[in-house]
Amino acid sequence: MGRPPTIENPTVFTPGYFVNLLSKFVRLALVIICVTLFAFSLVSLLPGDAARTFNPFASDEQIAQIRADLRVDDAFPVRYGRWLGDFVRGDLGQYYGVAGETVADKFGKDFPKTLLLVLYTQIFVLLLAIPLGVFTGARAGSAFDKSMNLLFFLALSIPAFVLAFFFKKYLTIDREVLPERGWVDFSVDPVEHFRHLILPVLCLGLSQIAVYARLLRSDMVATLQEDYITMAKAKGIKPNRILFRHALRPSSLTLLTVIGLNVGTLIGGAVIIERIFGLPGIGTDTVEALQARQIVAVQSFVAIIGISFVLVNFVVDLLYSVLDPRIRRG
Amino acid sequence: MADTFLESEASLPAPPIEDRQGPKTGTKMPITGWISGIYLLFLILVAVFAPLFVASPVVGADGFTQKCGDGSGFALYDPIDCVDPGALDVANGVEGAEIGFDHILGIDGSGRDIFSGLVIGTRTSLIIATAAVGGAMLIGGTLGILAGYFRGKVDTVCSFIFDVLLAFPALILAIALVGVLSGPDETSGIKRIGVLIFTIGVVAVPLLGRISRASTLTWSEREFVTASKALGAKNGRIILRDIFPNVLPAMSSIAFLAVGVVIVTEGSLSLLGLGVKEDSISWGKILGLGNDRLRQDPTMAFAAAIVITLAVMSLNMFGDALRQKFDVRESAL
Amino acid sequence: MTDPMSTPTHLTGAPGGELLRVENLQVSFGTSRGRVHAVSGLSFSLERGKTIGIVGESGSGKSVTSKAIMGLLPRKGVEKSGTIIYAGKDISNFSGKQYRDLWGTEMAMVFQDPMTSLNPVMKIGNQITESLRVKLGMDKAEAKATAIKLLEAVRIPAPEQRYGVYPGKMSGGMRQRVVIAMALACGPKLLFADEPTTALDVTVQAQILDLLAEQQRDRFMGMVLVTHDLGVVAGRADEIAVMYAGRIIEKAPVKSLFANMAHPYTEALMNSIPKVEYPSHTRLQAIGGRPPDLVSPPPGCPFAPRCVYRTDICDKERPELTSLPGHPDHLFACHHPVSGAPVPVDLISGRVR
Repeated sequence: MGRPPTIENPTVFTPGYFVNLLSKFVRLALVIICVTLFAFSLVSLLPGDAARTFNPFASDEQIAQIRADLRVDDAFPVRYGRWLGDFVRGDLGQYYGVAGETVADKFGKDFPKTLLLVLYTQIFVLLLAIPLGVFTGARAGSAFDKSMNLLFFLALSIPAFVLAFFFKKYLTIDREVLPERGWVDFSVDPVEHFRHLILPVLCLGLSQIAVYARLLRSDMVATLQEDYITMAKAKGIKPNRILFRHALRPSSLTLLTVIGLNVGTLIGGAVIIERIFGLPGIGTDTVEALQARQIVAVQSFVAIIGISFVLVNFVVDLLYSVLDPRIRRG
Repeated sequence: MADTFLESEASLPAPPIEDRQGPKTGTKMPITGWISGIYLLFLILVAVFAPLFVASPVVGADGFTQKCGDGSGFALYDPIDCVDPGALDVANGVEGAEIGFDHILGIDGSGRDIFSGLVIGTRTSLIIATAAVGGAMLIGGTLGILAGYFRGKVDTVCSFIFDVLLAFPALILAIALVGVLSGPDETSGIKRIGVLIFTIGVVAVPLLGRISRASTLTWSEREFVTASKALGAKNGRIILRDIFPNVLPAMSSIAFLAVGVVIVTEGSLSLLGLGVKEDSISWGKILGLGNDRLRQDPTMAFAAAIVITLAVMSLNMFGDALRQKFDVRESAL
Repeated sequence: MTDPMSTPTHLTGAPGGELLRVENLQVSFGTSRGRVHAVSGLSFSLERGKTIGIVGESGSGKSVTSKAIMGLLPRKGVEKSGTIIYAGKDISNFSGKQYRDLWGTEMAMVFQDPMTSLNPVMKIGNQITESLRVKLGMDKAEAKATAIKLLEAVRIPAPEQRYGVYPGKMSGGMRQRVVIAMALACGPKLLFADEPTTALDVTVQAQILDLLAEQQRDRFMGMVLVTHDLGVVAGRADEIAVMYAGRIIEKAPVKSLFANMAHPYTEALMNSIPKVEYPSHTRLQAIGGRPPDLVSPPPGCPFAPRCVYRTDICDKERPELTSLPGHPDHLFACHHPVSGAPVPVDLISGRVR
């Protein structure tokens, strides 16, 4: 908080606040350790010879090489410790089969693409869902609200890949309105960059609009019953200003949590969307690594995705107190 | 958007006490619940009697007419038995070729009947979905009830497990598990189905676990639980007699939504080439095969997409209807 | 309080003259059990710079009255009829937008519960400056300076510091002062105070009431003070209207009301106030029974079932408002007016001596 500590704002700095914060950090560290442990053991506790799994057609020397590389004969905790050490230092291992390419290189190249896709989707979804949620909440029970509710239900029930099929068939194959697949960097051609991402964002985001708008609607309905809304009304403030300045913020707490949680859903959904629209993101990488049995890469990808997801939710948790001063007292 | 929100009951004076006697008891299932319920029942019947539904005779490779699928408990889509070589020839423009039988939805790239695939795929998809959700309900539900009832350390541990599992986006976790659990030398289609059930089940555990935990937390606060405790009832008895029957409705309405999610997940995994094997067929598998042929012939992808969407829609509708019904019961207490 | 900021001269009306007149106001709500007749045939008028106290127990329609006059009732399911004349204009059929132009600058309201009537996620400064900027078009600095003056005027210590604080950090009394500051911000000519002290500690009630009275005097506002406590209005109103079951059953200038109390209900209300000379732990005289059901009000006097002076005529015929002989301003509606023995009320403190 940028505010100077005054007698009016003492609660921000109470010992309880710090204890609370500290316990949050401890929990965060524990979850992250368990996430890495889980990601590691997922692959390492496999039955059979790990080296053989990597490369079933390798010669004996190659097998020996991989075995030495992985030091598979060590005990599990030792291997985990070593893997974690490498992981923390940014050494995500070799991408077997592609000469010289490390997992870290591939990750650095492709993870931003997935993040960008997720970011665009969140922005697109929020731009539509906030006004929809606010107005359906403000006019709860009206014909507008009921018809929107039906649309939300449909949007929730149609899987992203179904949308993708229809869009692809009618907008890229039958009529070449939009490019069918592929990725163009923003720095290369901004217009093409966005043209290539319109359909992926649309497919990924449509059901989330319904999720966000429904949540916001029910919180808005509750907030609009509050006395301070009547008070604002009695001040002669215009309805739209009351909705967006007075009612939106106290109604958006649940939404904020879900936006955080949804980063995971969107990264998961992005895997499919990337595949259908031929985008070289982390999802595509994970699937390719798996099909190529690049177990080390899979380990790292899964661990990093897990950690970033945990971190996003942690930040959302901290943001809470900024958004709602009521919570700062706790 | 005029002042309509000012029309909410916000500033109405509190209604007289008689008005607040809660919702009318015995609320019926909404009409959407019936419609979706009937459709779901229909899907179950299709799954059970799948081989009978595939009425079109199939000319097998050996020249004998037989039905698609092996007619046994676990229908596998036999790529050889279900092929209509005549139709494939027609599609390829071979002269003098004759279609073996009517294909309502056409054939796929290997001459297999798409409609038969969808019908038999119903069985596979529903088995995977119900087994995965059932298992997740059993494990997640148990953990959730224990966490919610005993609280303290049990709760800390269970919630932590859920947190770690939820730290991975569901589909990423599923991809990793399927990839790891099915070795490179895996051949058996049945084994892959088992892997899928296990994987999707693991993904669903924390979701159902959290619901049952939250539900248990509220129910164990109720007077009748306190009363049972005061009477000296054992914890196990309280959980089975007092908690479980009350948590079950909330869980089962969520379970229907979960089955929908699982069907979509199965489809997603198939699209990524991680679904059922070549010797079995599911909705997801048809979707995956259809995606590869979207440019030539979108029928296959669209047919699977529509079947999946209808199923998910009715599962969501039914879950919502159940929730409405049970919420009434909860607040009537 | 001669601070020019606290009494913007362009907002003070000419002394005297009628500010508000309500004629035959009827309000009813649709509920699942039928229409609730919350207010029936209510009439009163208020001069500029004067205060009218509306007194009654909960459910008597007193809060609905002030919301109806101000146009704050929802339109759906609510039927409102009668004439409301504000500053010479008939506002009874105003649209939402027309009302909005009145709110804040012409009429404002102080609500009952300061704990819920402030937005918990907005700094109090912003809640005050909002209407200054939106309604009066002030710029940021000007609005802030005015808001701080307002906080000073409602006796909030260290107003510059409080300006940037969230409501959660303030006590109920302080919050109600903020609510009053918000209501006063755009210099309304008519202030509704709907049970402004009911939710507050007894110790701060008098302070808030005195603050309201002081501001009302200084700004020459008309005020409608709604309360269930006859003692609250005694020292602070010019006229008192006692409401029962949606109707005014007695209305008189303060002195006349306490000197010649005519309605048994007013008397009963008076007796339910603790008196200074009572020994401690004295049982107060509560009014037995409940107010009538407003879905199907009784044909006769609505107070009859609870009245100690009830006779047969009370059940059959509803008494009309008539003036007390010799006191044309003093109206009451009763078949058997009580003798009207003067009640010794300290008109400054509102305490019964």
